[in-house]
Amino acid sequence: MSLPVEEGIEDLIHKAISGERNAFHTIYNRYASMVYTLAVRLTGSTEHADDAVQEVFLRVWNKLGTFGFKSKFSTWLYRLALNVVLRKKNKIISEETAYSDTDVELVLARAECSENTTAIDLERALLKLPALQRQVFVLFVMEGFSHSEIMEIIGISEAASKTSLSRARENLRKELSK
Amino acid sequence: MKIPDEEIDQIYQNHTVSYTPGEEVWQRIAHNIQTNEQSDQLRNTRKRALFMNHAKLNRYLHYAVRTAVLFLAVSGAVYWGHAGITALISGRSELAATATELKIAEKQYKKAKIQLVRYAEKLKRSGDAEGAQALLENIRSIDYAVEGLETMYRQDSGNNELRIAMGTVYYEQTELLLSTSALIGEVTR
Repeated sequence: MSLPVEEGIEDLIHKAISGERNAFHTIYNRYASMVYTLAVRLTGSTEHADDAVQEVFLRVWNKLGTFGFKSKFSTWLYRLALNVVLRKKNKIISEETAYSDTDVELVLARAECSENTTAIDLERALLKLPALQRQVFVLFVMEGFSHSEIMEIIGISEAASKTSLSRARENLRKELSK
Repeated sequence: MKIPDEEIDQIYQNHTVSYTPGEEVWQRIAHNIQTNEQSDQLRNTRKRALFMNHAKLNRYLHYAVRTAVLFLAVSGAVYWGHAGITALISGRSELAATATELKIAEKQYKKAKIQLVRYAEKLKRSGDAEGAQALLENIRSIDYAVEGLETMYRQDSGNNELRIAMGTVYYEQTELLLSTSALIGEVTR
């Protein structure tokens, strides 16, 4: 996932901390897509992703004063978003939940890409995976986490993470070969 | 032909589809912020009015009472162990969810403490030695209680409840120190 430009973010954060809502709106516009894409892929639902984005940015507004500028803002935000999304997903979906074709198409209607049918097909194949396989694949392959990190993040064993990844690849392979 | 694992990974690593939330999501966030701010303003106005009415004689009562409450809660946690910690963190599981968040909370707490110590020095220089003394004694008493909890956490740093308890104490104490600094600043301005 390409990260938003960090230029000028320090100034925006200071303004937002002092209560300037326009500055916070600019921060939101810059980073909402990053958080939303992560939330859609991990929860598999635009409705839950909407809720997650709302919760993440309300927490950002309340906790911005604790951001110490020691890391990149996107890294801090990403970690916060991951915590919120994963807490939320534990409540809403079981590991084997797989979405129907209609659900998948509803999510895809919100996808943004440059009229590229291959990209949409790839996204469709990803969204069709059972929840745990999709989460492990997204975290391992697309977000760069190791199996031991995924073990901590999702709360499954390393072996389960490896098995889910292998099954995810197999299912994607089948979908992409159609 | 079977697509190799590496190729599948590479395809998805170069995958560019993204999603953007609808405008209504921002509207809900903005509405929530506004609602929260209005209730905060009301609370602050009440706090300020209460404090100003008590004037110089009771200048530090607000701080002392809140310090005493927090002191008892932290001491209870240290004394009663698990039961005390559970009571202290009740409803605060969002605080210090990670060790990094705890470090940030600790830094904020230490910064706020320095700010209040500076206020105490300022009070002393302006001739209010009694007020300065009262403030410093309160800071020392809460430091003593926090130290007890810090020792417990150092001995069992993997304990989630203890981490959240530490985060809660740092958070509460930072809020307390900052609001007291602000109130003293207003009165001594």
